[in-house]
Amino acid sequence: MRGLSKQYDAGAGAVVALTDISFDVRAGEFVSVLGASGSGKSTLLNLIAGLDSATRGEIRIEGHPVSGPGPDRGVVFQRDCLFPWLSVRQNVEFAGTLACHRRGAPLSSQRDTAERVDALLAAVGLEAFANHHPRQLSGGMRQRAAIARALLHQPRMLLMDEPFGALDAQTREQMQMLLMGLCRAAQTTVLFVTHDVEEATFLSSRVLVLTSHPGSIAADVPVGLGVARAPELKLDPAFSAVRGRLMSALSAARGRRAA
Amino acid sequence: MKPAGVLPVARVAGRSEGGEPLARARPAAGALFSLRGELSRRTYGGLASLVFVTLLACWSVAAYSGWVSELFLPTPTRVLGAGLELLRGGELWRDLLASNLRIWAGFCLATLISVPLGLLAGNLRPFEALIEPLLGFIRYLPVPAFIPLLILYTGIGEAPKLGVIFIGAVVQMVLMVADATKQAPAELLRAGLALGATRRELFTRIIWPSSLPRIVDVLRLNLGWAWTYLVVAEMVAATEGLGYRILKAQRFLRVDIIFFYLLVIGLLGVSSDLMFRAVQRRRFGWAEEKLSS
Repeated sequence: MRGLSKQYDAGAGAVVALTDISFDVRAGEFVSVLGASGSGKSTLLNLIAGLDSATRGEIRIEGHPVSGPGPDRGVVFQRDCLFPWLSVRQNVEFAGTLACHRRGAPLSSQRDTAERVDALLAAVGLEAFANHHPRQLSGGMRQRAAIARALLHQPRMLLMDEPFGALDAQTREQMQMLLMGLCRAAQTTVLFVTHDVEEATFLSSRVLVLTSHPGSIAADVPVGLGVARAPELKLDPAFSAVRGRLMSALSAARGRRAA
Repeated sequence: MKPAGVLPVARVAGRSEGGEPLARARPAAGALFSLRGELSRRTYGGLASLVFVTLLACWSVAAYSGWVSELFLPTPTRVLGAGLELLRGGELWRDLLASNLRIWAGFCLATLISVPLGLLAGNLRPFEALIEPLLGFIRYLPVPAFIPLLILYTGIGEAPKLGVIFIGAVVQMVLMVADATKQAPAELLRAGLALGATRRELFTRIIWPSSLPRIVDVLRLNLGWAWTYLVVAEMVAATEGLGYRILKAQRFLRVDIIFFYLLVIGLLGVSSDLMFRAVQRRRFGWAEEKLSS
């Protein structure tokens, strides 16, 4: 992935959710989109995922305009959105059973898919729960399964919409470490929507701060805390400095709206 | 489930737990009436059978003591006697067979037509526009009002009876199936889209399996209502069947036969209901919501 650029100004009917947003994400970057509720963060993510179309402007991934969902992007939603009638394993391999991925695929690829599912389940620590149904799992486990499901076809980009918002603090920290490990290993580009300043600071290489009503980019803050990060980083003064910058950018964005 | 190093997780607001009691207390004396509280199987069963026993007791007292004339209220003994008489005479089996054939034929026909129509109406707007307003009108026409027309058009054979059951069931079922499939969560559809599902796959892989438990529930409820239509149809023009036998018994003042057949219809309804519930329990354990009664 060389670099993707997105440019659009999306206005949706009477309510303008996002206006005049332009930014680039480089391959392998972990970019957080930080904003208060109602800033159109999720709308932005849905546009990039191809689940929604922009009123104006366009999104390009490696030069190709986005016209719909594609296997180059994996999406993880706020709520896990697992299919409750399928087991964890069936959920993870779901994308592999769809026509668009079966078409033209040789028979041997079925075994590859099975192996890939095993590897993913192991990576998110759910091997022992492969045959459980989602309702038998805790919220953190369900969200891990959802991440594994989105990663089946090794998307180059992972789009995450406040994926850990519903989890308690400790589970969330475990999930953050897991996510960083997975993405670093696979060199996945991540666009991570959150309203949590600390989470954005901890995970990202860069943070985009969004204003609300309508959403537009207020600040583009590089984090620069290195690649290898441990929970102790949160106690580091450098961490606090970045966090402080983001918080003031966020409140400035709020102030600009009031003005 | 084994604990796996994952801490219990706060539930998201909005992910409400359908059947969760507001206060989970052991059923002590005061907790018996806690709002949406739990009740042990034994207490539940005890209360339920208490109602039946009380009813039977009241009936026995009123009938055996002669408070109510036997012309209107037969004794339990006479009702059982009437049952035995019909069993020996073979009428009971003939009636059961005739009524069951009618109801299942009409109901299966209605299912075959209403499930596809409901799926279309529930998920594709043009079909909704074509189907729902019309059925919304027809559903308010009382089914028995169709009987004269059906007899006029199709004679007095099996056709009008099947027709009544079919019309009664199909109208409700299309609307209810449509509604059931509409409840397939939009977020699951979005997740499917994001994973690369085509429109057809959204239908077959997400909407269908996710609404199947509710569709089976619609079938269960409608089979119950179909018994009503059946008896109405058989009262008008039939030579055998449960409804016909009840009407004939009235002509000869055989209230005991009427009572016995009412009991039989109730038991048939309950057993078909239990059958559906067993299927639901076995196949749809994943569904969190409680199904309607």
